Amino acid sequence: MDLSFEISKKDNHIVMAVTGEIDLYSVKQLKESVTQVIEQEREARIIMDLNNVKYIDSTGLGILIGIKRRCAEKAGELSLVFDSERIANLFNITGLHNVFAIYKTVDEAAAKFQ
Amino acid sequence: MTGITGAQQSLVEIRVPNQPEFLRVVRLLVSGYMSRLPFNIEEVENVKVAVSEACNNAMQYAFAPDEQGSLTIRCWHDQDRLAFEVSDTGKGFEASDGAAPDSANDERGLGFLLIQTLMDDVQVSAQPGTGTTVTMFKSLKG
Repeated sequence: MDLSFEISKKDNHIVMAVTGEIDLYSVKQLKESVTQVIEQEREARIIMDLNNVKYIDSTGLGILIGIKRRCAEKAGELSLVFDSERIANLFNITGLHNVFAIYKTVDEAAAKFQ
Repeated sequence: MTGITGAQQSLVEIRVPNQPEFLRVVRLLVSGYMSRLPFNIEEVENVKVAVSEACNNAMQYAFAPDEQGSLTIRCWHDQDRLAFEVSDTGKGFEASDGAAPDSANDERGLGFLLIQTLMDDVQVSAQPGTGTTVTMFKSLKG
């Protein structure tokens, strides 16, 4: 479905870098991959790096809300990383910039988990 | 084709199956068509999102599960405005039946919120049994 993932486990969190276009077609793949990661963790602290995501639609935003909820259920947290004004604009329009912890770099997001 | 007169010469039309794997084809149409016109990259990306969201709504809500159908995407322009129109062959809805995408409380509403915000003008026409047509306009800068 054209999405690829690079997952790296750190001391107290997991970084999941996503590459591709997140839309109605590929969103199922994202959900399945993240669910696998969450289920393996006792505390689901996830940093999702979206800097290589070229496109995201409302179904992708909806799935991110679900992932955030699932992380919270596992005593964790979902942080998002992106530096794209285009993607930031979509979060602003939908008000989701007030829902997610959003950082420009993975290092900034990781510092919060230290 | 509504809202723009004298634009027949610029009309491009494609039909895609109601399958999400064809969304990328639609986005390629948007970027290809707009590359002929004086829009910047951000404007092209915004229209891609809007048109793709209109297709999302049609693919997710216009048809019964596993029903085969199609979407028709038309684009045209005159000197003032660019238009993209997404029509489905699905079940349609009446404005009073609560199915209109006017709520930001669910994913469908989220998509329609993006369409309304990213485009300059949006028109929705639907009738039960005849499908839904969403027409979106973007002003051409002088």
